[in-house]
Amino acid sequence: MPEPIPPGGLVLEGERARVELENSCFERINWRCTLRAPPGELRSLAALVPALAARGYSELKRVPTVLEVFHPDGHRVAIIPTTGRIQIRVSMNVPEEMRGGVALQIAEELGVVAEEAAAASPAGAEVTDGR
Amino acid sequence: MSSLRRYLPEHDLMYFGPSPAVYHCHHFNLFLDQTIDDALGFEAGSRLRFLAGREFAAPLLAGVAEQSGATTPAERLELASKLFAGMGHGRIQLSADARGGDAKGSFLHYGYSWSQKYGQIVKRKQPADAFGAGFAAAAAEVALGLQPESMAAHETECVAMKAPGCTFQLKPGERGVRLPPVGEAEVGKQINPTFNGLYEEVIQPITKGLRDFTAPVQGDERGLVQAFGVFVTLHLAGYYNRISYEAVQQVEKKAPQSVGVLEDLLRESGHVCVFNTFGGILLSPEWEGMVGPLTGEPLPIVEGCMAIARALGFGRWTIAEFEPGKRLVVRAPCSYESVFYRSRYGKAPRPNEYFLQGACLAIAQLAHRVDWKAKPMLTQEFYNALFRGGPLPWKVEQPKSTACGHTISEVVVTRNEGARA
Repeated sequence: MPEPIPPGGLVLEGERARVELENSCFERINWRCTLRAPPGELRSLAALVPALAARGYSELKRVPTVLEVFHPDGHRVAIIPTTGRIQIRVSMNVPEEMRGGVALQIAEELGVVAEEAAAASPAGAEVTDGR
Repeated sequence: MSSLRRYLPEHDLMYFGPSPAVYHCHHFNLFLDQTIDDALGFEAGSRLRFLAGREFAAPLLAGVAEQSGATTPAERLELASKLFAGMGHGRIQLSADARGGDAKGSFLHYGYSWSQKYGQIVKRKQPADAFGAGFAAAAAEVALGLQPESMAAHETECVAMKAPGCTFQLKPGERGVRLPPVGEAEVGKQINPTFNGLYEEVIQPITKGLRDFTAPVQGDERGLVQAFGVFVTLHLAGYYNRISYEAVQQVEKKAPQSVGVLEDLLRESGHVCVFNTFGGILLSPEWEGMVGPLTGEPLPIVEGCMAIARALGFGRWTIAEFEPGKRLVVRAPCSYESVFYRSRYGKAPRPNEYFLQGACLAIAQLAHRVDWKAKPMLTQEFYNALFRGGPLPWKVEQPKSTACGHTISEVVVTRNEGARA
């Protein structure tokens, strides 16, 4: 059994990102991801999608305002370009006590991908992460 | 799957194949089933839930089999399994002939979500998948060309009782009573002229966006739909309506003093739905992408909830009046409850759209008592604080109901005297 969720919520800090527990039907599934230092040359969070696809994620297109990619292990990442919100949805196959760690791993990967995408994009473009 | 889903766009009712259908989450589904069992006892409650599942699954399965050209028993059983999973009810494998058979289920919506929600704190002694049993029995009837209401099914193992999977035994049973059908034709006769309410310019585009988003959604590899922080089912409206109204009728006969308690619980199912499903949608990234971040003002929550109700197939819920902190009046030309009641039972003696009543009260509560900007988690503790932490600040009345023959259904939510809104 994992430790109870503190009343103030649950935040995990990583080198490139932090994740904060969000509303979900079953414990510790949904995590809000905030990328740490914005890589200065990434034009849009939408640029993350092809970069993640190159790493084995698959893209799901349902509505144009929500970008979704599936991790090969069944986790999902939802990105809202207009507001910069990123939500990581950990697969329910992961035991509850490990879900936060998995969310942070994915967030760190997003951080790496964002840095790589920024490096590959034209200079002077801005990050649109809503902060 | 998505081609089977149709809306009556001006009334915001939904059909799946030939069957009236709605979306509901596991919180609502488990709460309503428990309410029925609490009212009638487990034996009678689970029997009613089985009968309702069987009754309303049969026309769906027959209609879709005909439409898709599935004629052999094997094709029809396979189709039934696909439909069940596509609707988010889990995986079920059926094997049956006229003498009976069995069904094996995994990740069944009711049992699995019960075990996830309560399994660590409650020991369950009875199986949870009476709807699944009814669906399996109907699948056998339709596949084998048997008389309707002739196959019985009994769940012998259930994940909610900590079994590794769910198992059903099917065998020919006592013929059930055939009740008047409630399908598209019958519902069509009960629909009143539609109308708009306030803020339609906001509500209608959101409704469309939600429908577009949900159109391709179907069960995952488990046969479950996990979305908006809940497990969602595309479900048969007749199932919900029959178990609710027959439970009320049975309690009226056997323990009339308890009818009020049951009606309150049926209203509370509306609280459960709005808190979990509507709240989960409002907090989701998908909502943020389609509508924008939540402002914390009550009106956008009320507008959003009208759109969510429409997209889920509950009916054309409109805002007739809204005075923040004081009063909300919702009107509809019909609801999934009222069209069923009129079709099956005729005019109701009093307004009885219990779900609509409870949902409207809960919308008022969510609009005024939830700090949306703080991005709350919709936990059971939060639900208890909002809806069970003493007298509610709102009262709900339904002066008009299309179930009674009125031309509109109207629910009025007003702040209780002296209550903080």
